Amino acid sequence: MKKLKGLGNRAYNILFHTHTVAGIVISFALFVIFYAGAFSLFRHEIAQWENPDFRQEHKKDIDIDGAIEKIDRAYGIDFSQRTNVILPNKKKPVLSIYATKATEDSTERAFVSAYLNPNTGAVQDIEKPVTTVSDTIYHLHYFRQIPVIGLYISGFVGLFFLFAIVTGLLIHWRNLLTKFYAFIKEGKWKVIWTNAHTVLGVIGLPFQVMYAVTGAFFGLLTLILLPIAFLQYGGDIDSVTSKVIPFRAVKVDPHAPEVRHLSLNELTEKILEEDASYELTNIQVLNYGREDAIASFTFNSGDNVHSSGTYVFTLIDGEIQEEYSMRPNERKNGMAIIDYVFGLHFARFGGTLLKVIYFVLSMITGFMIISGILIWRTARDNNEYTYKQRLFHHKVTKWYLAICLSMFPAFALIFIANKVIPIEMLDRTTYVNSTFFIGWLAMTTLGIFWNKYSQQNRNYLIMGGILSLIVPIANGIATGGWIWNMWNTYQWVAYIDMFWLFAGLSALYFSFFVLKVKVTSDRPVALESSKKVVDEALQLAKS
Amino acid sequence: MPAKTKYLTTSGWKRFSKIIATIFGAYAASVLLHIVFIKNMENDAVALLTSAFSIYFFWVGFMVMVYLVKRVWISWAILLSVILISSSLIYI
Repeated sequence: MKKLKGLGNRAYNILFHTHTVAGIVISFALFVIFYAGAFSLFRHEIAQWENPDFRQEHKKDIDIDGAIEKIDRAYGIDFSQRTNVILPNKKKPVLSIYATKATEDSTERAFVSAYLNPNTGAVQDIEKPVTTVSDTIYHLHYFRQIPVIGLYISGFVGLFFLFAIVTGLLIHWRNLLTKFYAFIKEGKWKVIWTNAHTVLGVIGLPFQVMYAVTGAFFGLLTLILLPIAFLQYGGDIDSVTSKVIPFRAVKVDPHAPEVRHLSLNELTEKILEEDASYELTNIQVLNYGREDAIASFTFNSGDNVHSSGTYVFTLIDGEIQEEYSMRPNERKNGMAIIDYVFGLHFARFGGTLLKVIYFVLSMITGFMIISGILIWRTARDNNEYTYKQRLFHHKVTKWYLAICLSMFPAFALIFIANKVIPIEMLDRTTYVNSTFFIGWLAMTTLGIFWNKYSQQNRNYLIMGGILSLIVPIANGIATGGWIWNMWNTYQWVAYIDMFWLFAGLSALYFSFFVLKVKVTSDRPVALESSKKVVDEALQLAKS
Repeated sequence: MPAKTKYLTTSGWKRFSKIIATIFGAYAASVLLHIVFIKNMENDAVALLTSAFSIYFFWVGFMVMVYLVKRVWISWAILLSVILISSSLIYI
């Protein structure tokens, strides 16, 4: 096959070096992002698995006004600020409200976030959740556990991932066609890792470019919005966001007289009269209970990216406000960009199959990251480097592999912790989180004592395999949600248990029957000491 | 396989300068260029939305440029001229 014209020698070597450095610096953080992200694709499904509140019937006719009033009585909502109502759906059959807390002291903003169980009428504070598996994993995905800078770190990792993709593509360019099908598992390890890295990199290219850009978008949004707002829109962030979401431009008078206006329930019915198949997702309301109250209803009319619509009504007369509204399928491509970004990043446009494909591609990307680390190490495992350098390469590789590979058992552990720690226990989420993070740290530290990479790999697979098998059992014992019970009622609970069952069995199968670990160590041997051994042997032979 | 060192920058301050250029210089150049674009488009909402992702492509493009250009001062000159021309276009 014809080789493509590649880069010149200088450009090739320079870009190769930047690719290596950028890649090694972000590698383990990127792995954490992809691994946690792969699970986060199913976070609503996992929420149903972990939280008994979400395992209940999805009530269609729900009293929205009653719910708002109930949460207002419990927490006190400042209605002059936006109050966001997320309506129940099949996976999350509770009504969530995010609002600003009414306080005497106006300098400090406090928030209300709570959900109402429509079947029991119980109110639950979202900031003090009962369970936290999907939330912890989702927060880990963008390093929210690191205060203030966590999100920016994840954004920069995304940006440098894009840089690594571009430079990687450029240096691989001349072999792009010839190595397209290089699924070769024979030869030297360096060649195997290189082929795996480049072949999977090319296959995953569109997926990875998309995630690098959308990831950077979410992480660094503030960094790009601030200068645009200051230099173009006179420092007003609201005027920037209202370009995209017109409803943000609405201003209300917090001292408008209190009136009895139309209820949100009535307006919901009015929208459903237009087309009963519309699925309302959320309602944003301003100045609820006052004369100039206004509400924005967002709904879905189908499965494509343009199918969402927004109707804005003034509540006093129920008149639709056309300037803020957007009928479904009428939006121009240019204005739907944010929907595209969200749709692509959260896999919202192709149902469950797409999420499964995304999950597999995320795991492939994880493999690519690890093979990149191993190329870096294997290519430096020769006499051109001093013993000290080689020992450093070995230690870095060992740490990176320990951090990355121990995520599999650690994730199984947080699923188990959620079921083993009793649901009535006070502050149980703290215990679940500490079990996860301390467990992950402990397993990482353990991996440092294994000097053979294949041994690390196999041992983590065994640990993960055993813990995975416990997950469905723990769920069955703690909640009665055995796979066969959930099969006909809450399928996702059964699917998640089956996923862990499959992951556990295949991990154990591979670690015992497929992987071979030779007893030698990957730790480099000091040249001086080996020379000494040879010299001593020669001395012995002479005498 | 590791990159041949004879092509790489050895001087410490040149490396430092390149890193600063890739992070801050390329960022400023890319963002300012996009503000000029938003300012001059009739439909600034669509321009704004497009910038939300194209800024990152330009940022990375400038990064690659910094490393490909042989002399550090030339990459800085390119970045600074983009920054200055864009800024003057914004303030006109």
